[in-house]
Amino acid sequence: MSVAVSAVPTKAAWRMGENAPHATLLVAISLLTGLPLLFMVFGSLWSAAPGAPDGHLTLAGWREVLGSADLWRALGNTLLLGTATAVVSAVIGTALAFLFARVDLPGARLWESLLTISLYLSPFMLTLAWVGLAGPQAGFVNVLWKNLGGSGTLLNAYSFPCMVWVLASHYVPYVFLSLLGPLRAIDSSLEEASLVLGGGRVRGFFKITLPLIFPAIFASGIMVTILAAENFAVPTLLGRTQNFQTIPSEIYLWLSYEPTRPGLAAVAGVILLVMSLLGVVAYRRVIRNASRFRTMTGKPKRIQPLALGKYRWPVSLALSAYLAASVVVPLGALFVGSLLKYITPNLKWSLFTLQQYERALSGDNLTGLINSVVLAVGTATIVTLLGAAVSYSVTRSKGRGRTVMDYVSVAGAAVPGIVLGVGMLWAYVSMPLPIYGTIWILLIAYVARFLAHGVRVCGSTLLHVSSEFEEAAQVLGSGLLSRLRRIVFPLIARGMASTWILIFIFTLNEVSATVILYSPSNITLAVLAWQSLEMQGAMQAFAFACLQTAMIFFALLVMRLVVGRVADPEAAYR
Amino acid sequence: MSKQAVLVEGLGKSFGSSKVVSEVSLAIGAGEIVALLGPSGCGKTTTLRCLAGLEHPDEGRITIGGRVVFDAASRVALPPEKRNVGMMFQSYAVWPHMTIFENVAYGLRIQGLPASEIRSRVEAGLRDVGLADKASRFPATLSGGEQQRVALARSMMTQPGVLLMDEPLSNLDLKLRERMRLELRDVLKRLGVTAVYVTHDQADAMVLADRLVIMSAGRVIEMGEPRQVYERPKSQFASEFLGTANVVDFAAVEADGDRHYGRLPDGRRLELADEPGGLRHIVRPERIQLVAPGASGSDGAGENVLEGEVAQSVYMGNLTYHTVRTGELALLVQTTGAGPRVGERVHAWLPRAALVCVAPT
Repeated sequence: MSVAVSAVPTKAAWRMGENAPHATLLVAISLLTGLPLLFMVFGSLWSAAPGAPDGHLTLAGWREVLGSADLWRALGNTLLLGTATAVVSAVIGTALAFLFARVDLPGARLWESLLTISLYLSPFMLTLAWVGLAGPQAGFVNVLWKNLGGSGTLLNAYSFPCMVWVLASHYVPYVFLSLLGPLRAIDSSLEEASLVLGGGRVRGFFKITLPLIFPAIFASGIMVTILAAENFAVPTLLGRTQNFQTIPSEIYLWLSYEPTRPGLAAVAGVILLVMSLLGVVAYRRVIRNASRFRTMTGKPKRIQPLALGKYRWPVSLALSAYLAASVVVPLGALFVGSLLKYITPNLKWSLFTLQQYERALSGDNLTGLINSVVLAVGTATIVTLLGAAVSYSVTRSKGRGRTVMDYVSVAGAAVPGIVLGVGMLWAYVSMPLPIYGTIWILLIAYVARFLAHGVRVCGSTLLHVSSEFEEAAQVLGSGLLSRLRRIVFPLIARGMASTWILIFIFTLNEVSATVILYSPSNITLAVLAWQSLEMQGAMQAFAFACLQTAMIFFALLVMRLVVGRVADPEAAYR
Repeated sequence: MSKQAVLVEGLGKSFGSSKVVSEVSLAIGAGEIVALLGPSGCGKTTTLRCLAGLEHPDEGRITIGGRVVFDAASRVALPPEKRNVGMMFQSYAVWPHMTIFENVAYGLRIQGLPASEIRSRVEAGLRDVGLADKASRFPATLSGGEQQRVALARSMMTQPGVLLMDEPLSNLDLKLRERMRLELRDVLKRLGVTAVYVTHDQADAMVLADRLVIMSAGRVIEMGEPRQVYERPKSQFASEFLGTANVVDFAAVEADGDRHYGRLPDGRRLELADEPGGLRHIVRPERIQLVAPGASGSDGAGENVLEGEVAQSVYMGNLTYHTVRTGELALLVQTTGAGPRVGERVHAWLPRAALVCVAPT
C-alpha cells in the first residue's frame, strides 16, 4: 500500500478544534439576552415610546428618575425588602440545613422534600394565598378572629412583615439546599478534634461548624437579597395600599397605567440591572472564598449525627408548625377559597361552588391555560436541548473561548425578569418582526430567562461524564453525532429530564416578564390570576392559582419518580 | 515495505506558549511494546494523544500501519475515528450505561458488522481476557482489574494497527497491579500486538516493554531495551529515573597503558572499564559491595576499594540501605541482610564495570 494514495484527509479534518459551532451558539445566546438589554439602555436615553418614529437622544428620563424622591425611596425599599428577606431566610435555612445534615432528625429526608416544596410555589401564588388568609377585611384568619370576638385585624397581609414572610417562605429552601453540600462536606474530624480537646458538641458547632460554613451562608444571603429585591409581584400586590414601592413595582406601574412611561421604566430597569449585576459579582466572589473552606473532596464519610434526645418532639413540632405556616395553611386557604362564593369561616355546603373552575376552563381563559402549558413545554424543551448543547460546548472546548462562553451563558441568570421584560418590550416593539403581542415573544423571553439554569444543571451532569468516555468511542471509529447519541446522551439523560421539569415549573410560575409582555392574544394562567384579582375578585384568582399548583405538583411527582431528586436552584449563579 | 508499525518523525506540540513535545522521533516495529516513560509533564501523554489523534500536533509526521495519519507539512490530519488505533485509558473509560458485551461490541457495531459475527467475535474477545461469564453484567458490578480487562478486550476488537495505553494500571492497587502487568504482557505478546505504553512507573515499564523511551521536558532523552537502559544508561537523567544511582564526579580521567582511571577530587583513583567520554559517572547501590576492613576473601582489598564509615543504615526487611561516607563522597549502598552497623569502618568495593559514564542532566 502506498502512503500517498492511502492518505485522503479532508480539509475540514485539518483543524479538529473547529470553532464554528461554538461561535454560532455563542452569538445566538448573547443576542438572546444582550439584544433586549442594549435596547433597554437605548430606551432609557430615548425621548419617545418604543417604535415611535420621532424621537431623539436625551438624558431627560435619567434626570427625572434620579431627581425624584420617590425613586430613592423605592431604591431604599428594594434593598430593605431584599435584606430583610435574606436575613429571615438565612436564619431559618441554616437551622434547617443543620437539622437535615448533622442531626439524627426522625424522617429527615421526608422533611427535606416537604420543605423544598415552597421553592416551586411562586411568590405570586403565595401572595394570593396570603391575601385570602390575612386580608384585613375578608381574610380567613381575620374573619375568624372577629367571630371569636376579637377586635381589629389579627394578621394583615398588606404589611411589610407579611411581604418578608411570603418571600422568605419561598427562598428558605434556596438557603438550606445550598448549605447541605458544604455542611456534609465538613470533615467530621475537624469537629472531633474540638471534641477531643474538651470542646463539647454545642461549642463545636459555634466555634467550628458555623464559621466553616459562614461564607456559604453569606453567599446564599446575597443571592436571596438579589432575588427578593427583584421580585415584583409581592410588593406590587401587598405594598401598594401602604404606599410601599420598590423599583420593580415602580417599573410595573410606569408600564401598566396611563399615561405609560416606557422611557422611565427603561431607566429604572437599567438601575435594577446594575444592582443585580453587582449582587451577582459579590455572590461569586464570596462563593469562591467559600470553596476554599471545602475541607473534604471526594466521597463524604459517614458523619456521627448529633443526637436530639429529648428534643426530638419539640423539634418535630417546630418543623410541623413551620411547614404549616409556609406551605400547608396558605395552600389550603387557596384551595378552599377557590371553591367558595366568598370567604367566611362559617362554612356551609351551600357556599361551595365550582363556578370559578368552570369559568377558568372555558372560553378565553381556557386559551390562557393552553398557552401556559404550550409555553412551559416549549420552553422546557428548548432550554434543555440548548442548555445541553451549550454546556457540552463549554466543557469540551478549551482556553479563553470556554471562559467567555461560560460567562455569556450564565449572565442571563443575573437579569431580573422584569428588566428582561422591559428590554424585550423596547427591542421587539420596534423590530419589523411580527412577534410582539404573540406567544413567540413570551417563548423568547422565557428561553432567555431560564437558559442559564439549563446550562448549569446540564453542565453539572456533564461534569461526571469524563471526556475519556467519548475519546474511547472516538478511537473505536465513532463520529461526533454517533458519540453524542450512544455515549453522551444516555449518560446525561436523567440530568436533562430534571432540567426539563425544573424549567417547566419555572415557566409556569413566570409572571414578572410576562406581565410586561402579555396581550389578550398571548395570555397565560399566571396573568389570568393576576388580572382576576383586580377585576373578578380573589376567588377567581385562587382557582387559576390552584390549577397552576396542581400542574406543578404533577410535575414534581414526575420529577421524583423519574429523577429521584431535585436540582440545585442556585446552580445557575455560580 | 518495512516491518515498522508506527513511525513518528519530528513531532512537536505547544499549548499556548509552552512547548510540551519537541522533536520526538520514534520507530516502532510490528509486535513491539514500547513504553514512554518519564515524570509527569514530560510530554509522554501528549505524544500518545497525538498518535491517537486526540491532540493536534504543530509539526511532524505520524505514520501508522504504512498510512500517514498526520503530516503538518502536507496538512494531513485524520481524526481519531479514522486512524484504526486502540486506546486504553487511565480511568478505564468503560461506559457505565452499557453491559460488558455492549462495551466490547461497540467498535464492531460502528463498523456495521452482522450481529452473528459480532456475537462470536465479542465472545472470543471476552474469553481472551477471562471475562466470558460476565458478558451481561454492567461495569459497576466489576472490580477495577476486571474493568481494565474489558477496556483491553474493547480496544482489541477492531484489530487496531497499534494499541495506545495511557497509564492503564495506575488506578489499581499494588498487588493487583503487579499481577495485571504480567497478564497484560502475556495477552499482548500472544496476540502479537504493537503497543505504546505511557507510564511514570518504572516497574510497569520494565516488566511490560520491549523498549523504553525515556522522556523529559518534551524531549526523548534516551531509548533502549530495559536492561540496557538500566545497566548502561547514557544519561544521568535516565539512570536516576530508573531506580537509584550514586553520582561520582571525577576531577580528571587518565589512561595508564591500556587501563583507564578516574581521579577523585581528593586524589584517590578508581579504575574504569572503558575509555570514558566524560567525568560524570554513576554507580548503582546494589553493585557496590561492603567488606569489613581486614576481612579477607572476595576482592575486598586492592583496586577500586574506598575506605569509609557507615553514617546511616535503613533496614527494609529484604534489603538494607547504608550511607557510607568516604572522603567527600557519600555512597548509597544496598546490602541483603542487615549488613554493618552505623559507625563501623567498612571498605566499599566499586567494580569497574559498575561505573558507567553518563551525560550530566
